[in-house]
Amino acid sequence: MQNQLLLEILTEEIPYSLQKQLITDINTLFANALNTNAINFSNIQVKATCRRICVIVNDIASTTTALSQEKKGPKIDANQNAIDGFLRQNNLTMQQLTQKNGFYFANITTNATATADIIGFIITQQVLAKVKFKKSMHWNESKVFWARPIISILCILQVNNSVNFINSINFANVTSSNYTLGHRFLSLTNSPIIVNNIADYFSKLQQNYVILCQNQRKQHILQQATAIANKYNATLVDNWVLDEIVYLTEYPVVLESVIDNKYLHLPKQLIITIMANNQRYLNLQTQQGNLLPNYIIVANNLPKDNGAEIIKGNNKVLVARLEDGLFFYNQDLKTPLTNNIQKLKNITFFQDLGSYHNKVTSMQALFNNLVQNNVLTNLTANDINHITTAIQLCKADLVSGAVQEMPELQGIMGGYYYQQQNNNSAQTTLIANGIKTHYKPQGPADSLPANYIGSIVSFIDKLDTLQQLFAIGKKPTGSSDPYALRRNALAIIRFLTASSNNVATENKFNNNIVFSLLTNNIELQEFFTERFKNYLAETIQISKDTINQILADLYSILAIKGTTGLCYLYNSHNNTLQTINRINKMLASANYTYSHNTNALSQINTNLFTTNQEKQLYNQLTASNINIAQLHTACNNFFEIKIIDNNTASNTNKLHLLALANYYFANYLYNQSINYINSN
Amino acid sequence: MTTQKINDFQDLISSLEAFWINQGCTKLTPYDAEMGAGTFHPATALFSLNPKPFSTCYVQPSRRPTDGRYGQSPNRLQHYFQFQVVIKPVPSKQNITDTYLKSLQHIGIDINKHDIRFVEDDWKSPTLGASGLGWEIWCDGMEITQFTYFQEMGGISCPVVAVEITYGLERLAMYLLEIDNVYNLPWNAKAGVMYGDIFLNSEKAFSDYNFNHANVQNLVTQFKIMEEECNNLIANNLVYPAYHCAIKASNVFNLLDARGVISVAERELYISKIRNLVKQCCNLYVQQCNTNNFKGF
Repeated sequence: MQNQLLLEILTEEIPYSLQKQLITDINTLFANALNTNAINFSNIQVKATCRRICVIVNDIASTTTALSQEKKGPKIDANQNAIDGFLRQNNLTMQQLTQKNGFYFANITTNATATADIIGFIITQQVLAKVKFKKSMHWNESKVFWARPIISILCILQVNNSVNFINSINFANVTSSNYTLGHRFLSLTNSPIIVNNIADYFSKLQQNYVILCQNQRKQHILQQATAIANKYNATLVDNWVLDEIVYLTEYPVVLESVIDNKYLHLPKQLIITIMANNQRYLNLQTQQGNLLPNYIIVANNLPKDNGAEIIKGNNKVLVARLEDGLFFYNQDLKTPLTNNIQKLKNITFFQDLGSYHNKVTSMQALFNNLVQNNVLTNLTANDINHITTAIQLCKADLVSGAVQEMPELQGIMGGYYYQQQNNNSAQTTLIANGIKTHYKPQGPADSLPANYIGSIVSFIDKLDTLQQLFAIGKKPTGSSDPYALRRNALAIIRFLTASSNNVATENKFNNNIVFSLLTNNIELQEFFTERFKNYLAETIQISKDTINQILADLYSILAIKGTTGLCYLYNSHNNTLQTINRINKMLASANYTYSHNTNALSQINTNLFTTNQEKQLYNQLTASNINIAQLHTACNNFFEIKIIDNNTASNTNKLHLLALANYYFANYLYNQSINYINSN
Repeated sequence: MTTQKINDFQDLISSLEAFWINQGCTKLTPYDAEMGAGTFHPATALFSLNPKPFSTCYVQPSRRPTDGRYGQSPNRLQHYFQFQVVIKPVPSKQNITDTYLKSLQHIGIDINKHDIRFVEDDWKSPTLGASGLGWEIWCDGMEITQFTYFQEMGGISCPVVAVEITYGLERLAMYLLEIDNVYNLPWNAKAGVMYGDIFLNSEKAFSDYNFNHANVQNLVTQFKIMEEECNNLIANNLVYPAYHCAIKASNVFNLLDARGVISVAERELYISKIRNLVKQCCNLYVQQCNTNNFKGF
């Protein structure tokens, strides 16, 4: 019998996000607790369903590790008080002291304790009592908070071939015992199931229709769902619903159903919002991305009629909801989007900041401003008309029935309505797609809008929001950003740094602008700068240290106009930034003390050169007029030779070369930036 | 308790009542003031702040003026019935969620044939200053019950947590009897009396009243009167009539809302006024519970 510990906390159904977090948290808490108490183990596994969380500690030691420590005391000739103090502190008598090198020493031993004797206490005080949920509740006199009420606790310790039931855990007025419960509906018995040992626990759960392991449930669902999809030559629509379904069931049963074709002309996102978000169904789509009327229900029951009643019931609910969706869609289409503009006066944008009607006016003014300041460029008169139309209408769908029912569809429905309500032309589609995607990107992983209209409207919308919120003091703190302002700023930076051949931006954003052109608010400018540094660090992997170093190197002028410098450098000297970054990484990993003064030159010993690349680089570095382009080439060639981390004179020599190159690159960037700042 | 087949709406009510009475609940009558949900009944709103154990069940007619559809919608009504169960403290001997499932079997839902799910739902009532954690209970994808553990009422943390189970009676009846239109529900099958016989005319008239005829100025005045009366009664330590006025103010607000005359800013203002009244009532109630010779509820 393997040495193992099992802990099961059985509860009422816990929400998916909370249980998911608990899986991670309880693993960490358990590991920390065991380590603190010197109980060895090889690994911890956590399995969970919505009703139970199960911690398995493998190869747990039967006792704590005994410790023997030699503690140094006072000098042998120290005064008696000092010696008495030492004895008292460590609970010792004079006889227990030894002498060495003129000092008293004491041997402090902590005896090994049986794990079985202390594990109950450890679990109660150092694991369970330390669990915190984002949202929790209390339900009995213990006033303990947990995600949902706790029903039972089971703890079995198996060591040295003996089975110990740990009955000393008492938490939330629940005392640990030796029983569990099976599946709510499929369990062979509704009575508590007595567990005899750990293997018995797993086996009894399985017999009583609980698939404990979340991965197993997921695989089971995926397999069956994919088989159904294959039947129709389709694939599963990929979204978050699957992960949640895994936790909504202890025994997932995959059922197939179909709805009337009559709803399939509705916008895809509308159907998916109803089916996935509201009802937790899995949708199927063709290779071209069109939804099928066939869909998948994952039930938590295995009825004798093979699910006929369940399917019938779900279909009814779904049809009712889709009818609602259809009703709203048809109603909404009857009202031209332009008629909604006045109604936007009734929708508050933000407390103290007025309605969405105000916001649209503000966005329009901002657009004019950005065009005047050349932040937006290369816009034809047609472009400007399209963008103006899009700005006017981008929020109009907020008063539509569909969006009021399902706010996650904002923008998307507006795009559909515009498309349907206007003549069938390329221009209509362009504006429609712009409106549809103007909320993107909604996070660093999200793509940019479909076209330049969407991008510009998105840019203006987000910049306007940032300006307005910062103006009333609503900037994010270190730990909290309730209005997603960091996300908005990141989006703006992505637009400004998009390459010239990006179809989303079509070169209509001037990427040599400074943040002071976007806003007068100093705090907001600084906010953009911080976000930009983060962006550089994450996307082109230029570390924040390198960036800060460049800024520090480039003296105080750039520190003040740092935003200018950064934008400019990023866009016009990206290569050089990359190279500097690479050099800095190599110097850092070789523990080379970064020195960017020309002393490096005097430290270079040309006799140690063994390769052409070294000679080439050296020549470039000692030319009377440094040619940056040629220096780049020489560096790139140089990167091909290996610099081994063994502190030989030869390798250190190579590092000197790099440090010197770094100095010249930094200097070059500095000069370029100064020129740019002074001429703009 | 054996499962009995429900034949009509009144069957459903008596069946649920019988079940919960058997569980030890005291069956109360509906509160005689207009309210948006069974939670507003003093037996829930106020009594939940009294640590004394109490279990109750009752039918509560609920009014949501904005949901009026002139009798045209097959399942949306501005006046409908909730079946409310409140148990305090949360039972420790028998698991309340298991008991709830038994109640479903009792009214004829075979839980072995259907897919019953506990779907996360956390409930908040801004006007009551109340909140709780719990679930929507789904049966084959349709919500049939709201299941909540109260955490806070009138801004006060509940000293003893109550569990509230709210069944939507019309929806449940339509599901059990396989009826698609609420007005076609048999209310008394033997006598051939349908839900529509009793309520269709009234739904039409009330929808018209709520949306078109309620006198706005009078309503605004009524709200002020109720607010003033409530404050006065609180100052005189008369918590039950004070709370009665708070409930009435809340209903007046719902009517004004249906009339479409409340702007976004005003809505927040009305809600906070009502919440303030309820909070004061709850505070006064808790004070009274704590006095030495306080008996009962």
